[in-house]
Amino acid sequence: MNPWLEVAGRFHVVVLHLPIGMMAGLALVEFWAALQRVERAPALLRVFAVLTAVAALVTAGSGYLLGQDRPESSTLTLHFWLGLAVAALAVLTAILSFAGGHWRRRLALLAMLAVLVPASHFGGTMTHGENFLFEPLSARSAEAEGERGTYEARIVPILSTHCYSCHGATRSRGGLSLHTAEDLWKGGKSGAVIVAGDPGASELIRRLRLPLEHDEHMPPKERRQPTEEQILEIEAWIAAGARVDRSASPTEAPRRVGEREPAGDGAVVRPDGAAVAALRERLVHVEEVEPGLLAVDFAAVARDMGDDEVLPLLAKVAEHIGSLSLARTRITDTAMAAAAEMGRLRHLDVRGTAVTSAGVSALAGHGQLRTLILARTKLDDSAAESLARMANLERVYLWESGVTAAGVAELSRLRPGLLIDVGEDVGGELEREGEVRLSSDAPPPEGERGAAALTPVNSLCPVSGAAVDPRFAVVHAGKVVGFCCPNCPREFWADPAKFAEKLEPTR
Amino acid sequence: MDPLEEHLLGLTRRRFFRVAAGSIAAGLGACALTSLGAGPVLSRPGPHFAPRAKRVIYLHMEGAPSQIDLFDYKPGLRRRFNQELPDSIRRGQRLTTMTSGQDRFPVAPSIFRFTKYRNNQDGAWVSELMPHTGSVAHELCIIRSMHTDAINHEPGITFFQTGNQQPGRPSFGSWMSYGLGSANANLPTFVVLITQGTGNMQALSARFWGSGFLPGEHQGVRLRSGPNTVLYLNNPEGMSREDRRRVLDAAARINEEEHSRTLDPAIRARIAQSEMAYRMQMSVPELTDFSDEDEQTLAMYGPEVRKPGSFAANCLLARRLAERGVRFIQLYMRGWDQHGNLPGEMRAQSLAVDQPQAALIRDLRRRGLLEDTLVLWAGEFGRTVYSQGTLTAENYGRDHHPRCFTLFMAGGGVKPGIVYGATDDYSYNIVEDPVSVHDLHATLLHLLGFDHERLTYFHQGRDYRLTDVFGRVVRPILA
Repeated sequence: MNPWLEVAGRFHVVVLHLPIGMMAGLALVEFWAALQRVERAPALLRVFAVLTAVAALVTAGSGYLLGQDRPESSTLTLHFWLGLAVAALAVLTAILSFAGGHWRRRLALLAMLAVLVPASHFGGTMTHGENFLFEPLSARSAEAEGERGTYEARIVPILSTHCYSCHGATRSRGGLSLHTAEDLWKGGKSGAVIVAGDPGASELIRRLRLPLEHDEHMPPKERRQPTEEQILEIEAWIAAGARVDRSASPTEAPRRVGEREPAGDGAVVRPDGAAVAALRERLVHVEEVEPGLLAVDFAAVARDMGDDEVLPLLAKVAEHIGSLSLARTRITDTAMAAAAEMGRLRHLDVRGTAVTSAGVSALAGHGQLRTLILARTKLDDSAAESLARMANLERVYLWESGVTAAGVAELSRLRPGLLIDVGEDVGGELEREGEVRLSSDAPPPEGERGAAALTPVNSLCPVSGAAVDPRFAVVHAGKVVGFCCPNCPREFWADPAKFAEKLEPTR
Repeated sequence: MDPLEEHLLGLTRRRFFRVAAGSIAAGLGACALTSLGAGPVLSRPGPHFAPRAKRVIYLHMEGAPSQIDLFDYKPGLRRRFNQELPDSIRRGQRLTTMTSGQDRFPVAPSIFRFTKYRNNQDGAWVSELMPHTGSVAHELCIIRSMHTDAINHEPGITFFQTGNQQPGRPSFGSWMSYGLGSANANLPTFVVLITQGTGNMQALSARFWGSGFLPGEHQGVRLRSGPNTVLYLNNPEGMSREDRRRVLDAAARINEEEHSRTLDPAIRARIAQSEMAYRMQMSVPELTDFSDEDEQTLAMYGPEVRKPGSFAANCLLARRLAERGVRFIQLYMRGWDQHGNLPGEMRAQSLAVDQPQAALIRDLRRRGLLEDTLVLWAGEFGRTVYSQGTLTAENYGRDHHPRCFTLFMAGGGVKPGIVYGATDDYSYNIVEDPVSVHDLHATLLHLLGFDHERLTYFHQGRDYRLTDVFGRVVRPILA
């Protein structure tokens, strides 16, 4: 192509703003004309419409030239056709401003504006890149509830209503202020008030949960108290890591190890969508339990799954897996080695598989694992030593795992706090009642007037007016009310107030 | 507005938007969608926070077992045999018409011996009818202070299942299916298993596990006992699996066409259910085949485990369903409505459930499944302390009693080995920590990761919840 033509093409990105502005202006003039109910299209509008059409044609032409040296793409094609449509509609609008009624012209103008929006959008996509427009939006939604949104939208309002008056910008009793994220983290004289991920250990929650009469209860009992739901909200927020606004969050914010990815800028790395789709395609259950953290469960298809299929499926999402169930699959120790590479794994279930002590030893250095289910595996007592080396292990299931009583004893000696479940019963009887003897000799309970109290206060049935049969009596508002038959009480209970009057005059 | 007119209007309205979207805004709309949908798109509302339980096994004792003869130990009543129920206790409460005409309300103490079993507090009293259940008391959270609004079975069960006494709302399992989605694409999310009891039985309607106004795929699927677990699941003689596939594909095409014409969501549910049934042709036989269970496990569930449809077989099936990721497994045990002949009937009923339900809890526990499986055992209400009909030293009956009853839970984030709440000396009124059915629902949803006030579904112009406008989370029982 002629290089001058190429230069002309590149002017497209400048020239295009001209018709866009003019079209907006045209719409304004048209709007004004409509408001003024002018008889004929004003001259100004005609001139404007023609100029717009010329500008649109120039833009379309230069755009066509520019498109020549661009690689073929669906966005380009869409932009081309939509752009051409805009130019065509601009010309149509110009023609209709000389001939035809108001409404045809306005319709053409409206159509032009409607097509203009997607046409410009695709143009913008080509220069600024995919997702330029919605990036801030999706970044925000990825943060999800339970984080940034929660702090600003749900936590701040609670704190400001109930706490800021004493622990805020103007006063900070006990050295504690809660009105900024930094102060919230810093705590007061007696230390931090929030332990991320652990509401139970957070002083803030302890104070809120103390009985109202307790001296340390907050807010003080004469103040308005937060509702149960609000306390729950704060607890949920702390349990989810107590994250605050990105800009306000100190980077050294206390965080339970492995609780959440400590990404420097607060952005969450999402798992590879294609890898997740591949797992789901094989009917493996994948759940995003926290942004960027997955729970993966092979339960639905366990019997058909061996190392050859499991390992490639997991490879691409390995660093995102927080909980993994391979129970009842045909995996071997190789899969355990793969699990050892999953840095954020906290819960692993390999119940009913051919895993051996060698597999467990591959996991020995794992610092995040909390729960390990090894019931019905092929271990031996050497697994005890590997298990003892898992720094954060809290609970291990060893029923029918091949680990003997000696192995269990060794493990509990090495790791005294570890909960080891071997499927044994800890229940038992404490006390057994003797022979059951029935008698009627107990005195009536305190305050009871005895059977005589069942004598009705009325002699006529309040519903039917017939004589009362003492067998059919109910107690209402501290009075025994008699009826003539078993059906009348039902009517009475439907609306006791209705019969109140009838009860008064008797006696 | 006339429903037909509304429907037609909906049709033209949607068609207009579709056409408009197709011509003008196609570009922008499509673009916005692709750029937003970067991560895995989840089309379900929850959970709201990290769940403690992933699945629920709900053992419903239909007919309402007597709390006085099982868990609510009242030794003082033994010396009040045949005394009149005091007014100060009854306080004029309404009775069912089955006993409202009775001359007397004689106190009927339980004739069963109780044993105190080890738990994480100072022990739990359980009657001689349930020794196995007593022996797992250290796993149980026994709530003695439940109360309900209903006084009869149909509204009582409906209330317990759906949070409302009138039929028509989605049942708990459907809410859970809607909220959490399936964890096993080969099996339904909500499965119902039924055992016929030996005691006095009440009607059991399929709407108890209906999905109400939620989409049809969330309704419970009943697995039958016997060779045909799911009716018409097997291909007829001479039809190959390939043929079945082709039939389903063709039907799906026609159904899709119909859906685009009428926009009826039931058609979508139908397509999904046909696909599910196709996959269940493979998954159900494997599920119900107990041949891979070892003798020791089978023995633990008791002698009836090999009898399809027995409570023992259903408990084992429940464990197998839980293992396969089914979210909500509901067992109905019928025959707990002891208006008369209570001692004899309860012996037989308890014998059928005691060993299997204890085995289920043990079995889940040793497999590491109890941590995230919530077991709930409950009737729809309690039974009266006074005898219905003739009271003798060996025999009595009890009428319906909504003011207090006992249920237990295990696993799934509930405090193990505790007893919560208390009733008065007559097991008639609650004196400590009452728990309503709505409170129970709110607590269960909390354990499943939901704020019960935020799990809603828009229907007939407003948002509906399982707990309506009630319910509070019972925090003291959470682990």
